Amino acid sequence: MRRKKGNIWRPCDLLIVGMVLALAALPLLPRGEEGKTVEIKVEGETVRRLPLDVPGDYTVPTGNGEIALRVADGAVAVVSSPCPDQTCVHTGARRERGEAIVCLPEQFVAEITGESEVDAYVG
Amino acid sequence: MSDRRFGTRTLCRLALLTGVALVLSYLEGLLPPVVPLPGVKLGLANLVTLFLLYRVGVAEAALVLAARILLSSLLFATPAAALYSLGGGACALLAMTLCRKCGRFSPPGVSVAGAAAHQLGQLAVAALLLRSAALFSYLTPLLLVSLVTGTGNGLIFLLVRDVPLSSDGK
Repeated sequence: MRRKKGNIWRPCDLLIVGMVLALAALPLLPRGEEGKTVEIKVEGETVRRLPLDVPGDYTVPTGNGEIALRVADGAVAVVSSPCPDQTCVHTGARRERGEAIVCLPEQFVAEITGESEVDAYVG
Repeated sequence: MSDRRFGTRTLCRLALLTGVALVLSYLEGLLPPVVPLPGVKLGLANLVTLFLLYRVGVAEAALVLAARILLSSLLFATPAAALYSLGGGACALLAMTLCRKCGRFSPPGVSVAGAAAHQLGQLAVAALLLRSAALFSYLTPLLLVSLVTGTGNGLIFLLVRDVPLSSDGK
């Protein structure tokens, strides 16, 4: 049975593309505040909060070693990590509220928040 | 032809296509990462899911999907990765099945829906497990990538759509 030669696309596909674009646009809505603090979570638990206006180098222990971070210039970046893909290192610096640097293999997230810094070791 | 639900022919088909999906998964992992974001990949294995969905049925597509995700996580990644992939895969299958059933979308359209749903599902699982809503800041690039990968997969599917399944063929 030979399929009739038709178009590859169908008009309704635009609906899908439209929805995907709309969803993709959601995180871009104006956020407002600058980041003030970076909240570091390992395996879902917050382990440190650091102020973004105080430069420094820090290390956070994770499952397979440690992740090294640098806070400089109002932003934070991952300097080194034991993970195989190094995506987190390549992400570079983040400074805006709501952004994050993620290392999935190490279950590590560095979130930028707008709260004023309360340095707390949890757990 | 066997009457039993999982006759020899079905089993062979499932096994073979699971193998194809695994090989595709592995091969795309060999490519250098173009975009340094977690979760950006070609998703070539989704081709197999599409194929099964269009040519056979949801049940077989789901089985191969689950088998492929579990095996590839164990073989090529970590067991933890299976959770993210399963979440993404389930959403993708759901989206693709609904779109296919609806009948108003083309295969590339269905594929894009699947790719986008996969990214959303995966992101949602990660956000839940890592307790971070900030992960959704990655949604934009991930979804845009899914438009491209979904389309690509869909177009490739159109090329292999009529590969014979019965008698001597796969």
